[in-house]
Amino acid sequence: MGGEIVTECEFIDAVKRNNQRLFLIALSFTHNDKDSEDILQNVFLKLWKYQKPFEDTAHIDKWLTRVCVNESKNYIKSPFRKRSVPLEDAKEKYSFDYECDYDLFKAVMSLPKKQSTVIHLFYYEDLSVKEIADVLKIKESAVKTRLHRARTQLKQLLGDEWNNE
Amino acid sequence: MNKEYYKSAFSMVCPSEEAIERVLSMTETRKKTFRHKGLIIVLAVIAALICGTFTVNAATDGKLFGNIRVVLNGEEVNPEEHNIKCKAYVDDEGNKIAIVGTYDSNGNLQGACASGSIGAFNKIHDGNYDKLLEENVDSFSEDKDADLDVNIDDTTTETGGHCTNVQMDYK
Repeated sequence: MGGEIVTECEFIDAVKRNNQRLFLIALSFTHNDKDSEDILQNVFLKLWKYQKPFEDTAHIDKWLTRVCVNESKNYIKSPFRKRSVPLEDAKEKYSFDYECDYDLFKAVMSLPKKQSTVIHLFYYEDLSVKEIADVLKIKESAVKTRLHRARTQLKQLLGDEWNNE
Repeated sequence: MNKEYYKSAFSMVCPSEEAIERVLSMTETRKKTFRHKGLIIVLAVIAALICGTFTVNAATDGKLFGNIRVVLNGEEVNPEEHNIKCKAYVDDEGNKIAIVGTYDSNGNLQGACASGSIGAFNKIHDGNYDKLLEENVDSFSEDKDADLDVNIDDTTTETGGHCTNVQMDYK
């Protein structure tokens, strides 16, 4: 890498390494699989057209996360957003291993979008409160508030399956 | 514990294979774009050679557009009166980027180009200004302090084709 723009091989590796992760980030914003796939496509298009070199794969992945968040934020504000139908067929589509997995998915998708985004970045992406605040460009206190409200809601929806932590 | 539970639940959720295929097929576009870029450079050189003879005269009411001065065929002009859109940005790494779009009197796009190292650069002369902005400036901030000269040579070729040659210089 170092000094060169992304090659075809590096691009394909980046797609394979990040497609699910970025799809889920977009999904936490949109609650809609088709919109999320559109966002995914836009994000990777930006990577493919990006003309500056990356230091390493970690740099690419971090850049993709930031672009995906920005793209998702813009997308949900866009008048061109095509779909507002929620993921009603998710249970059949994604073949969850356990009923409780589907319950959690459904519960997260029922949260307000601002909360589901914060919850996803915290629990799936392992970002700290500060990192979430940075990537979403909001205050840390706002992240904490959204996390708290989301956890409370998840506890109500999932009962003992969700721990208060 | 909640993190493991969460990751396990969401590990089954992924984009469709069709969506991945669409993304992977993008690698074809840059190859095409690069081939096109070569053609554009050749056309730009040819246009530059015949530029002196076929330059279109422009109005002379020079006017500042923010800190961006637009010079059309050697005359400083008000870009709005000549269907020219120009904006300056700074990307998240502090790089200065200017994007220019030119239109004919019917509002048809003649050319769009960008300075700086962004993907839009590949679209010089065949881009769409609005699309170019839409696709590239998400992470840019408008550069209100930009001090920039935009020199545009707007030419019609012998065969009736059109060529817009844009040069951008920061002060």
